[in-house]
Amino acid sequence: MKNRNVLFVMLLLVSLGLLVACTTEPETVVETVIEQVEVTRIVEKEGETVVETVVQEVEVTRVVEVAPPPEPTAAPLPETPPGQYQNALRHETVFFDASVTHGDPANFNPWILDNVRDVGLHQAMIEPLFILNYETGTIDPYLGLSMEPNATFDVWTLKLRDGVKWSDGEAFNADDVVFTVQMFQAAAPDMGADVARWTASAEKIDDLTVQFNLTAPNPRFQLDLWSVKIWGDRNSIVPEHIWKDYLDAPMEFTNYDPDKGWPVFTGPYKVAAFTSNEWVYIRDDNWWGVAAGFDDLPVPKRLIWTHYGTEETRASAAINNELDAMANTTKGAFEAIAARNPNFITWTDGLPYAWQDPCPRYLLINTQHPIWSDPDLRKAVNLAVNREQIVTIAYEGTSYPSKSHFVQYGAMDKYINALEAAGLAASPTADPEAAKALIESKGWALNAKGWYEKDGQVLTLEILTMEEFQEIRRIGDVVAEQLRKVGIDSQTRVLGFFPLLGAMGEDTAQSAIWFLCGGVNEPYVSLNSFHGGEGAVQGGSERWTGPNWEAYRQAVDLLAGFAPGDPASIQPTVDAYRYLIEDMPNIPLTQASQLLPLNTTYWTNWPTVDNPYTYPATWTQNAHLIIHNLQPAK
Amino acid sequence: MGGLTIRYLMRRIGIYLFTVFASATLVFLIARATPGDPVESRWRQIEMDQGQIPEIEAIIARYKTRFGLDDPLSVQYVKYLGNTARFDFGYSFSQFPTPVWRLIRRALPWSLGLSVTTLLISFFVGNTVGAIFAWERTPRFIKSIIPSTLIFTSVPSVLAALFLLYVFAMLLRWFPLAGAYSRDVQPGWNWPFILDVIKYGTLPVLSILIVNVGWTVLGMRAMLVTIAGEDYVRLAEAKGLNPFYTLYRYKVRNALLPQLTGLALSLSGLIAGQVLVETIFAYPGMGLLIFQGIRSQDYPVIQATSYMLILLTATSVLLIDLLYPLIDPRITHDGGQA
Amino acid sequence: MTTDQVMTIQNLSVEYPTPERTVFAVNDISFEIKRGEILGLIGESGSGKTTAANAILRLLERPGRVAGGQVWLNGETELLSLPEHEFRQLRWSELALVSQGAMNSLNPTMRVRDQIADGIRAHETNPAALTKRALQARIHELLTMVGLPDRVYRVYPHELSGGMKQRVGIAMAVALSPALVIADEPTSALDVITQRVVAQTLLDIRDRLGISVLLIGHDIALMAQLADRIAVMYDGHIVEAGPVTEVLKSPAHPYTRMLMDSMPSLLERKPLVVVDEAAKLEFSHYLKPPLRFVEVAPGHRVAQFD
Repeated sequence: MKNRNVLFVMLLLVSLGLLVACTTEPETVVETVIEQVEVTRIVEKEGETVVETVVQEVEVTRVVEVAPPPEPTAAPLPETPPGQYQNALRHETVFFDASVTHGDPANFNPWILDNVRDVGLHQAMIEPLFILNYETGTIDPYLGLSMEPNATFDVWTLKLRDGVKWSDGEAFNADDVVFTVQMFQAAAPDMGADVARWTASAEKIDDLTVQFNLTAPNPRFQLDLWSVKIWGDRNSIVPEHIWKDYLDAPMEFTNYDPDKGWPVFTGPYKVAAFTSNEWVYIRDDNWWGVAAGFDDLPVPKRLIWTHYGTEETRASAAINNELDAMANTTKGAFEAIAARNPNFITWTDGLPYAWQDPCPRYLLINTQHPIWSDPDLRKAVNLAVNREQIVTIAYEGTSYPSKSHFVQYGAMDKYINALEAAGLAASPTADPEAAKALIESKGWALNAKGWYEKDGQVLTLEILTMEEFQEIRRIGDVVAEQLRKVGIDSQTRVLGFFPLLGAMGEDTAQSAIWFLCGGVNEPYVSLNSFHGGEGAVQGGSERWTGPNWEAYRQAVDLLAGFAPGDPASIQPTVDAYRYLIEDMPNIPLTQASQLLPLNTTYWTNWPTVDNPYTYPATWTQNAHLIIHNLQPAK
Repeated sequence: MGGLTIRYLMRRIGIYLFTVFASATLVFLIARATPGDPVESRWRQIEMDQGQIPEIEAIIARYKTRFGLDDPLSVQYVKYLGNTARFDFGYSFSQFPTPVWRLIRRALPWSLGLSVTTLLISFFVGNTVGAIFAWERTPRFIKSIIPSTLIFTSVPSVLAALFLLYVFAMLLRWFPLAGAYSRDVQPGWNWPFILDVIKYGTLPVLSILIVNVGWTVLGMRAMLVTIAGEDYVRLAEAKGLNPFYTLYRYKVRNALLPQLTGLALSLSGLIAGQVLVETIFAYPGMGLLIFQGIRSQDYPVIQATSYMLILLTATSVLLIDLLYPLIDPRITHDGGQA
Repeated sequence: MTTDQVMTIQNLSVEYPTPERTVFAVNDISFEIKRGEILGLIGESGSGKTTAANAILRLLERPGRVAGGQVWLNGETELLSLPEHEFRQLRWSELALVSQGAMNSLNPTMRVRDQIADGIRAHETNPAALTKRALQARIHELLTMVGLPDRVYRVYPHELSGGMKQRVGIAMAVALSPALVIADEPTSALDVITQRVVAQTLLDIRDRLGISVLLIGHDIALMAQLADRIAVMYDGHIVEAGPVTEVLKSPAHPYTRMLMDSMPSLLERKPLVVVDEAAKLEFSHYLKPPLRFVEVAPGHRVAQFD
């Protein structure tokens, strides 16, 4: 699908090249010059084939850029006065890519599944209590000031920031938090399922303090339940004075009534207008943060999330400066955009362009399969895999080789470094000879066709990949190719998402390219996924058992007790990881890739790898930070 | 003599109802025949976008109960038929608790507007151009221009849409890139809104039109060439009638009937093209609803939209069938020719 | 030329150019039609009789075209050289057609009355005759004249039998009392009984209105019943012409004799092909234009064939 899209863009670019040249690039001139060129050619000389290099004069047609006339000194840009922000000018507006349209856009209930949250609701309006910083691993305060556990992690005390106000002027305080918890407890699992599970009770200590009494110790109570970790804070606090009338069926509450100023949240923007593919938010100059000394008003007066149908449409909008921040884009489309609109930047200046999504890709192997139950064969696969090559071919350079099962954010550095020091990290390159030697040491020998064979059985590895997910299909193809190079008869089989889940559950399944949306600031969440217990990834298709697994389980259970990012958890991580490497039920491959073009024509100070105040995703709730950091260009 | 008889009407409506029933059943079965569980599938997919969801098993169990997926298939089927007959399609998975009918009610007018406009223009323009193309009195230079306007006929509507988007929305900026109306207008019967809707609808309509109209043109031309050999046309010439009158009353009028049948038959193809075009232009119609439904594995939405499209197509064909005797005096529905 | 002759055809030729050679479908034919006369033009399928009629009516389809000759109407107007718009004025008012196929000769989507009316409207100059009432009366009169019941006035063609359709065709053709009606095999697709009815209608009309008829066909029996004179066509040529009784009693040309010998039985209705390959070769010797004619009896001329 994506591939074809790129093809379309290319096709159109080529077919319309002339028109483009005539209409949009008058500043280039085509000229013909004589140039001296070195030409290497193969010639037959006295019966021998010789390669010789000669210098030739050739006529060369080239496009020469003519310097544009100097721009007149810019007059100060006009400004939209307060009260008319709905008609804010282009340089006062930020346009974001919306991933979906919404069939029923007049619904601002944050728990409607289909991401109505991420077309502005949680970036512009719903402010979180805390935001996790992927680089430092710290949980930064937002509406909350702090959240402290007792020594046994079963009582947590939340301190709220003073001076926070709902957009209708009511104070945001402990009552709202307690109310929200009670609403969750009544409405779970549709909303707040984890709050209902972990919270025995929430008590108001004073207006700005809430004490949570937990049902069981949980060191991740603040991180998992009340912070923006991945995507958004699922458990947003809502204003008691409005939602209390809808306690019977809070899911049914549309939370929209323009006459009453709904939806009411604490953010610096309000809903101004929407269509089914566009949501418009305008700045609320009375935002609490200024008076409370929390932050200045963000500069943009208007934020617009627009859904452009396909990648081609998005790319067209970007080229026309009708988009400022884009969602994931293919490399081909980004290059097409950058060629026409050089103001677009990405996370890195040059390859890989991409920012890493928190779901690294890996190869999982069925450890109960008659052939692949041998851990040495799985290790041979690990040796045969060339991760740099996967990045180069499958990603066209737009990703990163994985060093471990973990996402490579700054907060994870200390763990990954420890794994490297312990010699447990994955190599970026392959060692085919070592792989072959390892296979042969188990009694396999190459047959006439070049595959390893033992007792009449050929060494095969079928890799399941996902129809809907081009990235995963491509990884699978490259890995299969690499395995064939060392004598493993490896093929991929493409399946739709759910058939794939079914196929992975079958005993005859051999392997699959999979992904792990695990921890972003601590290894526990990822490691626990292979553990087979609570939170296991899709049922643990590796079927990993045995003494090493038993030991691994205990080690991971031990990790569960550490607070996220606790330096004391580094050594236990290495210990647990060693069992994983020992049995190798799954093999890390690459980091997930998000290529997010950002437009500097009107706005600067986007997050980049050199300016990583947050990550560059704009569909996630951390976009509050981006919006507050944006500066007008010039 | 002529017209409709009760017997025919009953039989035709019987066939219609059976078609609708059979397609409703098919829609139900296809949704169930897909391997895997739609609710679980949907939630796992959300995990791919949003990271791990706590307590997901409990949520999935709740949804299965809520959507009646725990019931035996036969119970589900009977409930489904009853509900479908009342246009009660239940709730959307992905936009729960939004009822599906609310989504359809919002989407349907846009799609109908798009397809009716396209159909009307395609029918009138296509047949007019086809007639000009086939008429022996048309100047040669006009006849030589016409084929070049039909180049898009062999192109899928997706490509046509992308082409139009690229030229008229991106390069020339005459039309917007996406959506059905701009954020600055107030939906309702006011001129700014109506003009806006026309402006936003132009490219989607054109995308389907330039692909579709060619077939109408060629069909009309072929029909006229055939009809030109009929005795009554020769007789009309011999009568010395006004050539325009002959063209219209003796040729075009008779060629239109098969064209109308073709129109009814092309409806489903038109809708298929429209799904893609609506997706490209983010046009908030049924096509986009289907596309988003498929993308988010929203089975109630997929079922309801598929059913509605089949229903609409079947109804249009029924209407055309019933209208036929009014247009073609030769067709009678009383069981035979007079 | 005398005004006694409604139409005079002189040396008319129609050619169809093909990549290999030019085929003459009508080859240098001449004849005349007298006022009030029914002239039968008889010949087997492909002999060129319908092409000749089309040439006279200027309804030749490409690539066929008139290669030479003249067609005089009432001895004063040469039709082939007339500008298009002037000729169109003569159509129907002076020169009408009863079409060949009974099944397709009427527009299926128009009521009978409208099909009769549009020809009248196109040519009638007297506004009084164009009022709705006048038109209605006139059409009813025409239908009565051809023996059709009143209800035919408002029906569609598919509700009529073949014979009724053909009578509608006749009524339509005589609506403006033209000088000449060309009846192109008017009975060919009808059963024998109906043929007689239609033929009788044609005769009645001629007698009542004094209209001349060029009757094209291959049915000698029918010709004998209707025509005053006949002309026999073979391979684009007229090989024999004369008063019908004279020609039938003593056919002079071998082709005419063959034609009469092979007269189909009343029940058999198939395209008439009477000339076998051997005879074709023989005829081709002496069918080289210009043909020389011999008058074997008064008004009975035969192409020389020895």
